[in-house]
Amino acid sequence: MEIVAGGFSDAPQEILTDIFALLEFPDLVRVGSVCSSWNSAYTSICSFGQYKCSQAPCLIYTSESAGDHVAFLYSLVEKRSYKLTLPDLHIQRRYLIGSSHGWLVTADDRSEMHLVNPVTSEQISLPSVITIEQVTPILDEAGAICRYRFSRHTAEAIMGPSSTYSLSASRDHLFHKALLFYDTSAGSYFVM
Amino acid sequence: MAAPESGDGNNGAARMVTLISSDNTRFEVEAAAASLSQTLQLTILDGGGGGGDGIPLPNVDSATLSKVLEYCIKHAPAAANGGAPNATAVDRAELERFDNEFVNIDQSVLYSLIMAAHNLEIEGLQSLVAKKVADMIKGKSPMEIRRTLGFPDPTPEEQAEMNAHMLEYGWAYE
Repeated sequence: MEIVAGGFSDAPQEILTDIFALLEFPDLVRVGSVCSSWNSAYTSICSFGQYKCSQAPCLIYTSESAGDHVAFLYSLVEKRSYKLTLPDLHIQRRYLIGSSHGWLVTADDRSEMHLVNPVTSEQISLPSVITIEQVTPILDEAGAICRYRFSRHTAEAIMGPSSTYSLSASRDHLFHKALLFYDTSAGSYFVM
Repeated sequence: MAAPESGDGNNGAARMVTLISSDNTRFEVEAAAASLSQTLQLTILDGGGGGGDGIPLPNVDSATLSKVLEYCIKHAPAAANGGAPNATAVDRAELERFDNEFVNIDQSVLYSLIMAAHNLEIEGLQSLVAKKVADMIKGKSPMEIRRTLGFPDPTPEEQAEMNAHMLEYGWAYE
């Protein structure tokens, strides 16, 4: 006769993932600290995004007074904000041009785009802005990029005269909105 | 116990099956109720569990099985109606009230229940208990979660691991 002993401290991973899949995001982080078996379940649920409920959105904002490396995350569920410190990232100087699936699409002060995960501080650089057909780099005497020329044309027509912007100002004109999509067949994301 | 109109059995007598818990207690229930378990459903469709045979459940003790069956009997009529599209708001409210009451129990019983629901593949019961446990976790610190769910005191190694994770995600613990 087999006796089912134990309790939640040694629950099978499938049971834990069933439970964790129902948690909103700050709670989900906290269960990762409970014990090592809970941590494994937490890690796997984060990697595979097996949430049952779609997460309530969080509001993210930065402020000059809090400094370059700080972002605040306001949880609508808990009605409180969390202070995230991103030591390797000047998050406050970034433009936030989109967010999906927990990633922020940001543009830095050279108008280059990066994906940032504000919770894990992960950063993935997207292809350089000069790979956009309409953007041509202008080099200074030393051969470094100092400005971008932005040509306003599509495949069919020229929409207007081209303009030249400084590295940091280009992001004001180039980016409108970025979206992140998850491709289930490839198991990867793409950004447009 | 009121017999659900399950369409089983022609002259009003619903087909019964016998389940045997790990501590050898026999439970006789309507096939419709036991069939909420995906695992049992297959055996029952094959004609098992009737008469003197009984279906042994070596992983479920009698206290847990009786609780599981209480859930199945309550939910069987709605399940037989294919998720009860024609259930009235009153019926639904009554089931909801039953569910809330049903999981208002000690964490050790919740654990036995979710394990049994998992083994027997009773989807509704699994999500009901998972939801209850998730609610018990919400807004608590790791230490409070451990206490709520009856964990033993952390060993020094476990404490060190907890501290390391909490340090990494310090913002979540302010």
